[in-house]
Amino acid sequence: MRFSLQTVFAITLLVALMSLAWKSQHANELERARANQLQNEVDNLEQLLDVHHPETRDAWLHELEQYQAVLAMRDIALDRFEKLYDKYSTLKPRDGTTLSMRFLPTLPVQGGSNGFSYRIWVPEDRPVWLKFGVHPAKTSVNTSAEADALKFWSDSAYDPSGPYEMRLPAGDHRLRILNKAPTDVTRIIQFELDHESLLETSITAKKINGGSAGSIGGDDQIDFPGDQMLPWLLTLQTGIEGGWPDEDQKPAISVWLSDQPSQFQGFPGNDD
Amino acid sequence: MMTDPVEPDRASGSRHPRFRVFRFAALTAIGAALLWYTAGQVSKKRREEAKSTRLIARRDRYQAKLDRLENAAEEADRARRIILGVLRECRVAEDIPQLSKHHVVSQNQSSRALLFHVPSGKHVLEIQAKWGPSMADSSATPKESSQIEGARKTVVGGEKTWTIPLPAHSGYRLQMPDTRGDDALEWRLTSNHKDFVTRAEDLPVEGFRRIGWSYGTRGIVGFPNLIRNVSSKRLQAAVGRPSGQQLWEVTLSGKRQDQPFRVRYAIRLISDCPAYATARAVRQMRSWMPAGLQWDYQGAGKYALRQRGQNSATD
Repeated sequence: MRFSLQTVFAITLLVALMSLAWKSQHANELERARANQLQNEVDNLEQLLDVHHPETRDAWLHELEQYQAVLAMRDIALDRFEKLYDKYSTLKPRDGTTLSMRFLPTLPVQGGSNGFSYRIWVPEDRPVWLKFGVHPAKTSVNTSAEADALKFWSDSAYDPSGPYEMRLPAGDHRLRILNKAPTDVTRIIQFELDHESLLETSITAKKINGGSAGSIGGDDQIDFPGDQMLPWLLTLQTGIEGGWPDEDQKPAISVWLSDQPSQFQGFPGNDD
Repeated sequence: MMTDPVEPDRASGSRHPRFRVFRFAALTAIGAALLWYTAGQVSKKRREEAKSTRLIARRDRYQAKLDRLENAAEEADRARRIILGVLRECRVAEDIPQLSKHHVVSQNQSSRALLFHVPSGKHVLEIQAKWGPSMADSSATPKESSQIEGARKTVVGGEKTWTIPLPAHSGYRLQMPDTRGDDALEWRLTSNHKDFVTRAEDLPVEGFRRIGWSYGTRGIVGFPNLIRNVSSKRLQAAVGRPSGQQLWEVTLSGKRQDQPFRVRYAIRLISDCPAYATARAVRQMRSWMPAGLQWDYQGAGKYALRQRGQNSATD
C-alpha cells in the first residue's frame, strides 16, 4: 500500500486528535478525583460542625461562647489579683533590728507551678544572711537553727547543689522562687532576688511526678525582733515516679535566713 | 500487443473516487467525534473545577471555624489554671471576685481551706463529717469501734451532716480545723455576701491530735449539676433529679486517747437547678439523645436538660 501525503496527513491529524481526546479525558478524571476528595473533606467538616441539623447549626457558636465565658472569668480574676497583690504586699518596717516579711500572692507560671514569693525588709542594725542548701529529705527543717545545723550535700541530684549564702543588704527585697517543668524529666528551680537571677538549679530523673513544698506563710506581715531567730523560708522536694530508689539519698532544698554566715560559697548569679 | 491498457491508478481507483470520498468522510467523522468528545471532556473538567473552587471555599470556611474553636479551647484551658490560681490566693472571703453568673468555681488551699464561688440560683452547701477510730494502716475509711479487736467498746465513731443555704452569686471560704494541739475540730464558713452570717460548727470529739492529712486537689470551673459525656440512660436519670457535685474531701488522721483516729469531711454543693452540660458535651451526646428530652441553650455555652415541652423555668 502506498500512502499519499494526504493520507499521512489525515492519519497524523487523527492520531493527534486521539491523543488530545485521551489527555482531556485524563485531565477530567484527575479533576473529578480532586473534586471528590474535596467533597469528602467538606462532608467530614460538615459532620464535625453539625451543619445539617437545624437544631445544631449554631452549636459551634455556642461552644465558642463556652470558651469565651471562661476567658471573661480569667480577666476578672487577673484584675482581682492585682488588688490582692497590692493588699498583701505592703510592708511597714519596724525598727533597726527587726526583720519584717510578707508571703506574697503568686500566679501560676506557664509550664510551672505557682512558685513562692517573699517581701523581706532587712533592718539596718542586724546582719542577715540568705542561705540555700541541699540536704537529705528525711531531716525535717522548720527553723533557721535547724537549717544551720544541717549537713549539706555539695553533690546531689540537684545541679548545682551549693550550698550558697549571701549577706542581704539593709532595705527592701523581693525573693522569688519558681519551680519550672520544661519537660517530664526535668525540673528547674529558679531563685531571683530583686528581679536578678541568683541561682538556677535543675534536677533530671526518669520521670518526675509532683513533689512537695513547705513554706513559711501567713496572711499578714510577720516581724522578727532582734531577740527572735530569723525565719526558715522554704523546703521543697521533687517527686519521682515510683519513688526514690534509696530514701536516704532523696534530696530536699531548703532556703532560710540566718544571723550568721556558714562560710558557704556565694550564689552563682547569672553566670552559667 | 494490443491488450486493453490497464489504467493503473485510475483503474484501481475506479472505485477510488467513491472510496476516497468514503474514506475522507470516515476520517472526518472520526475526527469530528474525537473533537466532540474532547470538547465534552474539557467542558466537564471546567465544571468540576468550578465545583472544586466552591468546595475549597466551603472547606476553608469550616476549617476557619474549627481552628477558631480549637484556639479558644486551648486558651480557655490556660485561663482555667489562672482562675483557680487567683482563687487560691484569696485569703479571706472578701477577696473572692464576682466571677460568673453561670459557673461554680472551687479551689482548695492545701488542707487549710476551700474557696468557692456559686453562680445564680439556689444553692446549698452540704458538709458531712465522719469520725472514728481507724485501723493502724491509713488506707481504711473510718470504721465503727466494734471492728477494733478487743477494743474497749467506747463508742467514739459517728457522723454528722450540716446543710447551709448559700446566697447566690457570692464567694465563700470554708476553713477547716487546723488542729495541732487539742483544739476543737471546728469548721468555719464565711462569705463576701453582705447578708451571710458566718457559720462555725465543731464536732463532738475531744482530745484529737492531728498527725497527718490528705485532701483532694481538684479545682472546679464548671456549671452546677454538670453532666459530662454520659449515656442515654444517665441522661434520662439526670433530668429533674440533679445530683449536686462533690467540691472537696479532707481526711485528718491522728490519735485520740492513744488510738489511731480519723476524721473525714465530704463537702458537696447541691443546686436547685436543672442538670447542665457544656455546648461541647451536648454536641458529643447528640446522637444518643433520648426522645423525650431536649437541651435548652441559656448562654455562655450552657445547655439545660429538660423534658420535651416543659417550660423553661427562670434560673
